[in-house]
Amino acid sequence: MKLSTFILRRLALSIVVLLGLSLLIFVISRVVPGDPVRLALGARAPQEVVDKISAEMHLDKPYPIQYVMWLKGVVQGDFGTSLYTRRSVSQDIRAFLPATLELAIYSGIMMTFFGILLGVLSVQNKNSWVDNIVRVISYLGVVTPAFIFAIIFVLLFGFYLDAFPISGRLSPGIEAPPFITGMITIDSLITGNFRAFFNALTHLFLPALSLAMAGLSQQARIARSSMSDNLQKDYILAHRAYGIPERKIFFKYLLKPSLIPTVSILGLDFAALLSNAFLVELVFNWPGISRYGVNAILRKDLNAVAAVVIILGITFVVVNIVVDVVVAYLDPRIRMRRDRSSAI
Amino acid sequence: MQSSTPDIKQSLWEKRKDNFSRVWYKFSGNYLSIVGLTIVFIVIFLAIFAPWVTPYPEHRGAFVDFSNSMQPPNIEHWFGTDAVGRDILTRVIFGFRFSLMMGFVVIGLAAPPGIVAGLVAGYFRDTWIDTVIMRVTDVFLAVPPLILAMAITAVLPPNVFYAMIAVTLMWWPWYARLVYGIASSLQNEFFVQAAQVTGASKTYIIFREILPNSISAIFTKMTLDVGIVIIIAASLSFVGLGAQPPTPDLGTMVSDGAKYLPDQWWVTICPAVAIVFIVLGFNLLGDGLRDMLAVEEV
Repeated sequence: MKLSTFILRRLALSIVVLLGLSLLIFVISRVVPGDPVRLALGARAPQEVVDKISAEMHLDKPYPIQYVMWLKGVVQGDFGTSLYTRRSVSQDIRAFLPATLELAIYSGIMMTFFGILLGVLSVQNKNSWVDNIVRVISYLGVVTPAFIFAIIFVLLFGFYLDAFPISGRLSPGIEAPPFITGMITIDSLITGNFRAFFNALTHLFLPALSLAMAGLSQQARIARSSMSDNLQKDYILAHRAYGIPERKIFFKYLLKPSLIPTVSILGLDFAALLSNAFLVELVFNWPGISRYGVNAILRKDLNAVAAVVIILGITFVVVNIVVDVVVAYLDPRIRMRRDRSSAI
Repeated sequence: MQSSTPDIKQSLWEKRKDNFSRVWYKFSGNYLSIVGLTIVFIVIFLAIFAPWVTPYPEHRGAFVDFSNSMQPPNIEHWFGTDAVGRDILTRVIFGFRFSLMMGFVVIGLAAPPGIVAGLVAGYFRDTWIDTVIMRVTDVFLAVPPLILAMAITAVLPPNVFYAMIAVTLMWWPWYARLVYGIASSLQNEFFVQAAQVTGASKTYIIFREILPNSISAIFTKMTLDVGIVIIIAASLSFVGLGAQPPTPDLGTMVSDGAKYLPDQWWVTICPAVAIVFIVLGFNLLGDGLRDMLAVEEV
């Protein structure tokens, strides 16, 4: 299959998947709970008010029509009004999403960098104490939920060592940069506000690290095993026979093909990042979309819930397409088959 | 084929025993698997006999003893006591019950439909049946399970029962995906073709030829998944969408205890360590099984 055909096929599939997802979310948020307006207004609200708001939000139409109208809005970026705050959900999302994306991006960078670093260290010192420590860390990383890491880091680095701030995105007293992308580190760089930039970085460190731990461990494990597999291959032996320095073999010839498996699970790891952001944002008081989503869920604000899930679904699908294309570019064999093993 | 004389039965039994000891030999060669198995056994034992092995079984629910509140770990209370004076060790052991129940029930409910869907789609590979089933699973796999589970719990009252339903609904596609991969590759094997040639029915081939050959992968994945589901359940409770107080649940205990950091660290750290302990057990066991059964797909 040619790369362009592969990408087109992948895009077409994603649209089907997103349509299916929107239907699923619609069913969950509209059909299951009965009357959402009644739910939002409470049992004592007069029937006329409930009817009026239902009509305003087109909730009195049959489900298929509601779905089409809702989907039309979603495609145009309009997720309706929040039943709870009576504000436009899209506005809320625009305010809260950048914080989560910023967290997830930094976390993804940490995950990839430290994961591969640990994997390399582990292979370079195979069966030594370094290797053993890396293996223990990567095992604990897989079995420990993100919120437990968050709590342990808060206790260790926040309270005992007092090295990093443990709440919010900026310290009080630091002026926030104007809202351009909504990501404080980028906005502060654009406006040249380096004080805010470094302050935002210290605030990002602990939440991003707690979020990264699970993926980091998995990356380290995969990098370790794929590198030690490739180390046995003939081409490495040939390079050695030519007398190419061990360092060059390692970083030039061994690392690149060994990183394909770690790239190909990046998509799944990013999904894990997005879902674990729910937990980490709660611990660190991070004003992101996940915390917004949890509050929406607790208040049964169904338009907001649907919007959050759709947005996260779209992000996830887009990341996966990018990852698939990158992997297909790196390794032509992948274009032929499309099945990846499961992770969280 | 019908001659089931005692002799044959005897030799079958011998063979099975022989098989078992070989499997056990392979399994016990990896000491980490033994550690995992031991942890799982300990946790299951404690969970079943919780009312008898815990020092203060009455502390499991809404019990209040303010004179004993916030005691750090000591001889009488190994894990200390919480804000209302309940013994944390007792509540952790009762918490194992909920974690295990969640893990076993969710996997028990999610695996069978996922397996059937995967088998059918894999057997009818490249037909419309395959397309429909696998596109539906793609939809479910397109969103992280924790988030969809939250969305489902959003419309249902927050409690353990609905949390279990939500996670179950999210979990079957992973089995469909796994079994699909195996079934579609087995479909071209000689033993399947031989069965087709002899006129075996599709149901027979799917369930008696292909399924038994997928069992080791399925079983390994189930073991590993119990750990993951326990994490997801604890996460739901941590957010406040799972078990509700005063039910002794590990996730709820961690989130309640986080209020008392850093001075009363044991209130949150002890249940947190308990979660890691139980998940570690299932993961070590699952990894051991994977190595032993030489399963690559999971």
